[in-house]
Amino acid sequence: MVFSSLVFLFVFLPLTILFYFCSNTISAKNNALVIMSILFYAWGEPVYVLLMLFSAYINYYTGRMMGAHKDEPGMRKAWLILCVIIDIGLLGFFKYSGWIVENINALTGLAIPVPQIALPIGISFFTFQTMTYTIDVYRGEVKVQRSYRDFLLYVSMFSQLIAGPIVRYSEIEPQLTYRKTTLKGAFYGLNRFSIGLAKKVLIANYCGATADKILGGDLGQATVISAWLGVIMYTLQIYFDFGGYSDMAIGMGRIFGFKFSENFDLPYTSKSITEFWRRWHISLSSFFRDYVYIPLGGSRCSKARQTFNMFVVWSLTGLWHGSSWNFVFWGMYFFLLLFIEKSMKDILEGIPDVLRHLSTLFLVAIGWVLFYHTDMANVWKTLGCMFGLYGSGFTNTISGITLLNNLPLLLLGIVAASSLPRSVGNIFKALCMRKDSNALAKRAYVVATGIMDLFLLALSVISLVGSSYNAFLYFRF
Amino acid sequence: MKKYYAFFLGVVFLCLLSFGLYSFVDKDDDISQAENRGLAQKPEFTLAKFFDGTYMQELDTYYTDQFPLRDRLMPMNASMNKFYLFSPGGSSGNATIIIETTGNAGQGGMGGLGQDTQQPSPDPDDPSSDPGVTMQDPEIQDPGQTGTTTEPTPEPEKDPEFENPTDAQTVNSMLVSGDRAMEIVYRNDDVMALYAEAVNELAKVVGPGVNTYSLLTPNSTQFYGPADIREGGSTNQCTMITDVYKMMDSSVTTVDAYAKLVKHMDEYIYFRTDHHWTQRGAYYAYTAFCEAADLDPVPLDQFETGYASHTDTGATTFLGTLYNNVAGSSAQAAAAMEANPDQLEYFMPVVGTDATAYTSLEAGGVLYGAYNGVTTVAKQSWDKYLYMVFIGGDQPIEIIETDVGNDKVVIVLKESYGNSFVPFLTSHYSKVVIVDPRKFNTSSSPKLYLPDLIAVTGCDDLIVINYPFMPVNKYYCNRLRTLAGLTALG
Repeated sequence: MVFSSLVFLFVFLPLTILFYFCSNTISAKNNALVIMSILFYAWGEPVYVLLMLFSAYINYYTGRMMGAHKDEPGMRKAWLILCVIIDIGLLGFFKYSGWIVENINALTGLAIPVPQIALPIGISFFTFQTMTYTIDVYRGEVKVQRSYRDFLLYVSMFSQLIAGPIVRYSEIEPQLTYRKTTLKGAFYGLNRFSIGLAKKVLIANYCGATADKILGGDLGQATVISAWLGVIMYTLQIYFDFGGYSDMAIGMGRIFGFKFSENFDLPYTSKSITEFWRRWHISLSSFFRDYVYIPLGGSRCSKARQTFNMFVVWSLTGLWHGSSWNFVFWGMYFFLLLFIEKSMKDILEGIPDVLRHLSTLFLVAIGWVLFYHTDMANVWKTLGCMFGLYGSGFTNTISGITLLNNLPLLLLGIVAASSLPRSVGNIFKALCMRKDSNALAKRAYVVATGIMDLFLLALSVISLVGSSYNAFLYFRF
Repeated sequence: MKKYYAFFLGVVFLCLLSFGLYSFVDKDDDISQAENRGLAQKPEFTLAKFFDGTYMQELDTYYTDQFPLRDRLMPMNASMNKFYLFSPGGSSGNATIIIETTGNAGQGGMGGLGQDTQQPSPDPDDPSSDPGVTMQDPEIQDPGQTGTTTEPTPEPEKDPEFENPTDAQTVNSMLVSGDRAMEIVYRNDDVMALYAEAVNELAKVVGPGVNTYSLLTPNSTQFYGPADIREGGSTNQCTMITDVYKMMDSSVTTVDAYAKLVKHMDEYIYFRTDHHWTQRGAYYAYTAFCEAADLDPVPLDQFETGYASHTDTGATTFLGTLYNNVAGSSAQAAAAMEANPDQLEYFMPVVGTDATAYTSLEAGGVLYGAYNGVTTVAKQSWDKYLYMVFIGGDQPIEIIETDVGNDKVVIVLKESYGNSFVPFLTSHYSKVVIVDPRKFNTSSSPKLYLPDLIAVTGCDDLIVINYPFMPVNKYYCNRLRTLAGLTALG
């Protein structure tokens, strides 16, 4: 089930809220959330739900075992290694085995049958989540969780189960047994959820349709204008899609009393690639930083070793996004950019901010071309179109009309991805919600926010219903 | 302040919950008038469908299709698209937009605007009639027209090819400029070669005693579209057609319909809201055919003519298949079309005709499923989609007997573009046999091998007539191939 579906919005979510708030104790509340989360997952993965339960159990059990052998470092290490092997093994089997076999076949000329395994939804997210627990228990940074139910709540919590953020156990541990929903917190949650849904439905979906029309179509028909439009639309889509999902997760978490860390922080305002990766999918980059890069020695080692560490991290980052070479190349691309940026730090800092900002956006957008096409031939075609080396010239009637048709959306996306909305919101809030503000100003703030939320929700629902308009999809032959 | 927080939280929660609960008790609709399609119905639960996840997918679709107030929310969405499909036409309603069309407008079908055949409709109480597949309007049946049998056309079941989106569910770009919508055809040399090969093979199997004609006509884009689409390397339909013709054997006589049509561009030869040509357009293609076949065309002024009307309202205007697509995308563009709908001019055959449709040719040369409720121009009126007035829509096999006493037989292989063309042929043949290749030789439709049909009907001339989406449509080319006894290509 996805958040941006009518079944989720009108059936699943209100029922979950109903069950949750009708439960008196924290234990009953946790039961309600676990049961609903398992239903949520089973809706999309009626079989793999068992895999999720199993994966959670293995990590839970490992935690218990490490707790039982707390004075035996050897045993603790053995359990950790075993568990990590199982975690990575499951992820590898379900996500990468087909790709690995294809590559072996291509390299050796063998014809090993390629296993056709459907990717379990969210496996990359929940595997990493459970690993933060097991590793942190080993490191002694968190206590052993004695309740499988509570551990399962952490893993399966529907708000972040299938599209992140990768919530760390250490962050959530105290909240599993003690948390409170305040009206103010829930109102904030509603606001984040509405904004997130609007980002997904009112921006990302439309940007995606245009991007697919251009990049997913015959690239021979694309022009310089349409290729750029397609790439920019995809750049906007991926941010509002993913960022919108994170907003919705954070918002729903707040309604149930959870506080999750931010996952995106205006990434397209970055002035360098380094900054971009501090602002983009923060929970993933910090996972790799804390669980791969630093254990490998991080930057406190020789220059060569440090470069190697970066190489490992970025290969894995690329691969995490999908089992296809283009994702590996995408990771490598950022490794190279970051390496260059590090080496030329002094020179780059002398460049005016505007140029640094634009060049960062340019390089990120080029990266999304690599990300979009799993077939490398299409990557080259798209890049060729963007620079007039492939496709149908600079522009034509179709490109011109398409650009015009998409102009308001393009402007909306660019403005919404800038720091402007946040600044306006902050100024408005600061004006109304000062300590010495009068009650009227405070009320005006809440009412304005509430009306905006209702408006965004209504527009999103209209769009979701409208997207099912399908004139004669079922046709006779 | 708490009151204010609680108010908004309460409003949202109650809206979601009440809508959610209401959606379970409200009555499900069978069809969507606006979209002219059957809406998804409550899926049947089976363990198999549950475990492979399709049950939940069907529930999702069902829920969305049956969402309360869906009919009211749709137009709001189309209005919202003024933003997402921007066109600086302002309040005048004129818009220039590019949208995508899905489905059979590009497949030469009738577009689901009502049934695309005149057939007795299945019993509405019959649980086997699946409203999810196509609109089955019980009122579409005219009691006076009911023929000799009641066997409905077998509804094609899911076909592996049909389910392949690249073959069946093509997404086409459509340019809407003011009150005219134009579908853009992209050439595909591989499929064009398949088409030519299929026609060559058809000429081979019917033998040298039969004259085989290929008539490919451009659609309206080639006449009224922007120059760079008309002349663009991949969108120029004239070069596409010429290139297909070049691949045809000398045994196939090719017909240059474009040359005749273009001379009459200022006349009403193509609909603006529909993907078909008008019968006037078909007439000029007919004159081109006559030239190729050395026949004397009947002058236009000798036909009894008029404008078809809706049986129920008497209105003589209609909005066609392309409008249907536009309406869901842009209220602004749709308004321009609504302000200037299409009319359907018909030309009655000048000879006496009697037409019978059949569903299949059974073993032993027996034509099966006879239904004689169709005539060459069935009626001057129709209750829904006016293009249905021609030869009863897309019948699998239809035989028109005329009172032309020359004993000549023509077989026409066509999609719906041929429907308005066929009536002109009645002046020159005793028998006009019409076959819709799309109705045969899939895994779920009857088998037909053209020579078997010829053994029953005879054949002097064979005409393969198509509009330009067909020579780039692998599915259609496969249907032609299988009529000639070749295997369908994957």
